Amino acid sequence: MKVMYVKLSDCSGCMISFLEALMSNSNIELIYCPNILDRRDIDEAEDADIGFVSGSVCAEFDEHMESLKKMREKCEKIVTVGSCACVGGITRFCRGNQPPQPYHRTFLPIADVVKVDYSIPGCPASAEILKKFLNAYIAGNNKYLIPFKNLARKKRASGQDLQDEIVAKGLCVGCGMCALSCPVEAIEMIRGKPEVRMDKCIRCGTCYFRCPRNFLKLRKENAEVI
Amino acid sequence: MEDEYLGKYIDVFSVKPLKEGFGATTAYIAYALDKNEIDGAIVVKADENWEPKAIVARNSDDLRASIGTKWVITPMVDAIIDALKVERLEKVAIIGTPCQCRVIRDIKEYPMQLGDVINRIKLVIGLFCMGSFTQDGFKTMVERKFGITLPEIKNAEIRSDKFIIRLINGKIIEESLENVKKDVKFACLFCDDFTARSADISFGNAGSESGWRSVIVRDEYAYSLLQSASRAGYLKMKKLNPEGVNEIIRLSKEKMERAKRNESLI
Repeated sequence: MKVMYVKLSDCSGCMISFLEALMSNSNIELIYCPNILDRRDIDEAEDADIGFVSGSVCAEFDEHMESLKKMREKCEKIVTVGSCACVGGITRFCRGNQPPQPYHRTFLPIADVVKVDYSIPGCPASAEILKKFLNAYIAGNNKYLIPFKNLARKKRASGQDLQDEIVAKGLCVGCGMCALSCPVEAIEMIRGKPEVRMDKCIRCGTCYFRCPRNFLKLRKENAEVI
Repeated sequence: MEDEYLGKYIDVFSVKPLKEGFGATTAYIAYALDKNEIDGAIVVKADENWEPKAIVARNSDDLRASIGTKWVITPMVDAIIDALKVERLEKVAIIGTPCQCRVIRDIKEYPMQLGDVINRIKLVIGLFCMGSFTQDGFKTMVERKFGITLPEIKNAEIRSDKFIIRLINGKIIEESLENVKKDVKFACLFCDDFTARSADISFGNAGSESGWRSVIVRDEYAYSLLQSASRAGYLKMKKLNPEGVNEIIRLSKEKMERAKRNESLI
């Protein structure tokens, strides 16, 4: 299977996970990845079966925007890796910018610019889930891929969404998995319910996707995502 | 075998604990700990105010604190991190309600966090559950309905259609189950899993006579452990009669219907 990997505006954490997953799978041929392969021009790259993108895209940086659009043309499926690419993550705190200004301040999740087929959230996306995703994709295990497919339609998720859509509605069972999944320890369980400290939240959305109440929904084909 | 109401299972048994002071579930875990089949078990203990706390039990003495049903949901985050990341145990058992069992399965299937350490949870033990309470909800319920305070309660259990509370002074309070079900957590009204379908082995009162517990075995390893626990004299084990199985199916059906009825609320 031919694979492309493009790293946009992120911290490289997802790429390290991806490389770990790549090494464990011998069926994959990496044909384009400017960070580790010599070929840097995407025009010269051949068509790929699947393209992975990590990091959000900077709307003022033409090079990124173009490589993303070209990638969409060359790849059969696009997969976003990590929270920045899926839902914006920490780049959601950027303030936006007026185009003539020489700053890079406008960052968008990938789904805002091109059509995304699958999303793998996490900050960083763990190597284990990437391994499982690659195995399932190669084996054609569509049932396993359903949650990733549903997540691709979600463009926003944070601790506040967990609070609004699960806890405030009274749907929280108090299992504590949101607190376990939080990479920055912004969630504390107080009297059996999660308490999100928004000043610590990096808006990666892992807690929101991990919540069993939500995940049950995501496992259904064509689930309703807001 | 696969059943719509019981989930995937190998067989259904009825067990009686033979170890002094232990319940069926704790006797089963105690065997696994004594024989070093597992290094630790994540269980829940409650203090006199029924403030629950998840702990890591390393031997059967630690387990004594966790005997009996706690009617209050308990986040197991700290205990899971303790067991897997701090103490770095290799073989861990976890015991919880159906929702907690499902979450462990979810994490194993879609490991968004914790990496591969989650695979060190070797045994997931489920409990039959018709719904639980928040701690405040439980406190308010016993105070308003029965006029007692939490520290007075010795234990509480469900027997057929009665919710039975035994007090420390020996008094017994009985209340119809229907009445108690009204006070379960809101989130539980949408759950359709009574028998912990994603666990390796499920324990519960329903279907067995007094002193016995029903067990649904779903996994070969959990099954072999149950058989050796019974041979080692920790448990007495017999096949559950068809009436008992039907009772479990009846309650499972009831919970599924309740979930379906309430589906429109979310």
